[in-house]
Amino acid sequence: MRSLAGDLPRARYMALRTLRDMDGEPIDQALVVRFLEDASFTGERVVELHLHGGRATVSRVLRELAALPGLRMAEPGEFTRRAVHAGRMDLAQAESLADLIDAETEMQRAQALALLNGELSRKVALWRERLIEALATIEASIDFSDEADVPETVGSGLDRAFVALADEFSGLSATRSFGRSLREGFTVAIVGPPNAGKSTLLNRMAGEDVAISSPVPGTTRDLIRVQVDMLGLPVWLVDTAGLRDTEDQIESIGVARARAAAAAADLRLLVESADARWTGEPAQASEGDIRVWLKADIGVGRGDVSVSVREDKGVDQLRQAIFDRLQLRAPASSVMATERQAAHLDRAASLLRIGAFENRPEIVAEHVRQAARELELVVGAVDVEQVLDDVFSRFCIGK
Amino acid sequence: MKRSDRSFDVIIVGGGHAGVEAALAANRLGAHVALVTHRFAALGEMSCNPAIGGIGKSHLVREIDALDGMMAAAGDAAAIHYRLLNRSKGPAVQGPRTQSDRALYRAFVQRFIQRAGLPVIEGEAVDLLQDAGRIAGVELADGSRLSSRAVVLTTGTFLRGVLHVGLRRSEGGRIRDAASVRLADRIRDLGVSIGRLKTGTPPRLDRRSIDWGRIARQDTDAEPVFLSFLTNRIENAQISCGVTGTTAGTHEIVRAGLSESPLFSGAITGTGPRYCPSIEDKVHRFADRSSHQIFLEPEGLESDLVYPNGISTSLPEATQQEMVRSIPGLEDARIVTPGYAIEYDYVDPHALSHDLACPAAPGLFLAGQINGTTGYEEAAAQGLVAGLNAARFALGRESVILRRDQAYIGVLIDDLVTKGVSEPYRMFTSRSEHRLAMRPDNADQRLTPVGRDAGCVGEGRWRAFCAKREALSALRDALSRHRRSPGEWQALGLAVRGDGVRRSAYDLVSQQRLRVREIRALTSDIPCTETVLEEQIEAEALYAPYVRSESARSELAGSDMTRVLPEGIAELTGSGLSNEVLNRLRNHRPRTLGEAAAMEGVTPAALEILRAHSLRSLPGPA
Repeated sequence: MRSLAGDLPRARYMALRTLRDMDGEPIDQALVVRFLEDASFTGERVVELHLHGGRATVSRVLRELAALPGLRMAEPGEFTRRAVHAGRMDLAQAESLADLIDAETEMQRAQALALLNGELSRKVALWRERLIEALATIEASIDFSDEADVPETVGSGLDRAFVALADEFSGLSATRSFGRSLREGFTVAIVGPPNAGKSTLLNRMAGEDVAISSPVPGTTRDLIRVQVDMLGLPVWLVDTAGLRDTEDQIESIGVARARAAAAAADLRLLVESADARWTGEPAQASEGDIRVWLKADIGVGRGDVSVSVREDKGVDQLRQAIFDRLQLRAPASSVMATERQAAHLDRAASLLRIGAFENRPEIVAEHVRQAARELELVVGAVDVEQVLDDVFSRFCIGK
Repeated sequence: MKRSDRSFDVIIVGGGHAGVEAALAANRLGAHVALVTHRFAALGEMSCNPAIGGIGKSHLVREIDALDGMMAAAGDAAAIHYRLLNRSKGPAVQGPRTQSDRALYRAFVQRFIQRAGLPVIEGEAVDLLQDAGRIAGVELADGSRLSSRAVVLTTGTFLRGVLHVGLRRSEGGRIRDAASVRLADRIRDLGVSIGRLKTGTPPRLDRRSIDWGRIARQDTDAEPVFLSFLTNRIENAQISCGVTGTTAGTHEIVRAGLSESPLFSGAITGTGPRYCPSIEDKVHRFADRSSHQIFLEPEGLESDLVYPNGISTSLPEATQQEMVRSIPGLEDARIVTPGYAIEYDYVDPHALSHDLACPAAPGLFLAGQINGTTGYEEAAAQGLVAGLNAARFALGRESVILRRDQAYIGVLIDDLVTKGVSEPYRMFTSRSEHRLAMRPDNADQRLTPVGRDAGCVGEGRWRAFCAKREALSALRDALSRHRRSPGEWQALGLAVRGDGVRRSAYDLVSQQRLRVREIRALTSDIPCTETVLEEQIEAEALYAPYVRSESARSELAGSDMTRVLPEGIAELTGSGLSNEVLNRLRNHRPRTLGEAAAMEGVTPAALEILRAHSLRSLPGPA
């Protein structure tokens, strides 16, 4: 490193250095930081180079580094993997780090940071402690039943405690769908009769012209998806073909797709306007959907929100309404499980529920032992090489 | 004697439960063995309570029996009281326990040794002979030398043993027996790490001085469960035990005497077992309890001694007498021998490998309390393994190692050599992660074939085992072949779910927990067999669903845990391993990931690093 940057600054102080190649020719001016063992992200001794971002600069420095003995490119997620190996974070925290790096909205960031701070890990550790405590009581009744100080049979409260605990596991596990949406985005479909103004609304909400809008009914034929930051929640807004019976083969495929997209969405905006009314009740509607009256400037009507894109009225209210409806589905807990974590939580919960009905203490204990093990897998205790591979494959490069 | 009376394949030092099993195991392998002990007459002595078996311990006894050891047979031969502990729980955690007539037990052991033609040399081994580091024999206190290729040390509490009664202390390995100090020095010189443990024993009472009319009785089981697979009848008259308890007065006397107790004065520095506390400890630590139970166990049919189980103590004699007399039924009881505490040296078992060899001196094997355990059964189990492997070493054969998923003996030894001990180690069923698969009832099915291959199972036991195995498999086959639809089972009067699934009789035993005899009563297809066989099939069927998932997991863990760690792993710096972990690695030198995982203080995170290093010796290509 000295051959590249000259002398290194003292540990944990940033200093400006001129990076030079083998022949002493300058490459870049860079800020250099040195971290000592046990005081870096990975726990190892690390030097960071903060370069000017140009592609040529970066690739030249990488080439110089690669020529140094013992250096190579990090594999995707390798730094995080090393941090986990060094015990500087657990698996659940590592997963959340990937989320934090990918976070595009405020809610995503807050959720990932909560996990990175170890909230889920702490929760699971507490549960595991409670299981171990219960296990200790059962084991005592088995191994010390000949001692006068230990009851021969375990108190009947344990089965209820197991069910209660299983419910808590299931509760956290159930956050997975909201958690997934928070990571991948909620889907909100705009559905309505042709020419109600769906594409115009989409373009307005997206802040750019994504969909072609025209006064001709049936302009939109395919699905158009655009990602929107809905007051912090990531949302995929989907524009769909206007719903009508049509002889046009292509349009009728579009209508079928519209119906499917509407059914699959987390939330539907059921739109209509004075010149494009629903005929009968919309078949796609479900509890919690939002009825939007569009083109409020040409005629008023019934709806949860009235919007006039032309007069720029009601758009903010609609954003708030979408946010509120989605937020209603957020779990009470501040942390949300990933699919991987939820699978272990589900198994732990089901082991406890079965165990609660069992009357042989050694079989109950077996269930509790396995449940404790599932909890360990949530935060990644031992035997996690496969899990690690899965988790770290989500990273692109570096951290 | 076969060859010379001075030259042997294996010498066993110590004639306690470990030494006797070691000598017999080595003898079964055909090695030329000598047993060195202070007095022949003390062979088979039960220094502490007169009982064999119990929860966890009976698992070990059955395994010793399955490997053709002696303990179970001796226990049955001397039994004057049988009790199946955990009778209300499942068969995986039940534990047959016997109380023994001490004299009968001793006599059985001594006769057994004589019949085996095993030379017993009376004397004190004071030194190990070595030839270029390898063990070459032992030197006795009289200066004579015995040569051998292997030595098994089973010195129990004799290494630098110190007895405490009140504030009076004296050197000794057991009451009335001298301690071994020179040998202790010799072991220190091997460079293994030595620690100090303590244990204790209660005063012995004169049976005639006890008011039995005021004491509750606990009778022997009507249908005794024997310790040995080969026992089929009760040998002796059966007696009852008494049950009484301490009073507030007792606790007052103990509390007042604490200042004279070596446990509290600081005279004893060794660590005692938490689960077998002295009465001083019980009164001190559980001050809120108004009474502690005491079992009065007669020491034999002809003996006038009674062992009051539950008041192990090292208080001064006079205080012991006062304490005893505060207990209901013992108001006039006379103490024949006072209780005492004993402190002794033990070798940190990290110094051993899984065959109980001590690599610091090739040819040396250690077994029993010297390795930090407590209990006759724990000692005997180690003795058997050490004797077996010492003989195999002397005869130039490979070691035999029992795995954790194979035997409680495997759990015991693996725990010792990988985790070490911080208090005297006793077996519990909860120590095994394969508890539902490793039951007392199937110890022979698990281990007798292993013992046969190892050379320690004789012809008689092997034939009996094969007959039982055949009968078991015939019964299992008959139950599995007998399949009926739900309707057909219901027609026989059984409450089977009408889901159209044809079930075998074995399925019903497993899922509905039916007894084999209940099914046999309904159909003529199930052969009539012994009750123990039926019970074994019932146990097997009961746990079958859990054992399957257990074995799937143990394979997974096994594949990972057997990864060999690279050399010099303890010298890794900058790897993220803490200094504490590095120190432990340096001290204990685990060979595989599994061994490292079992060490105290090795965190999951540290394991991850070790796993990574076992996959690639250096991080990444240069």
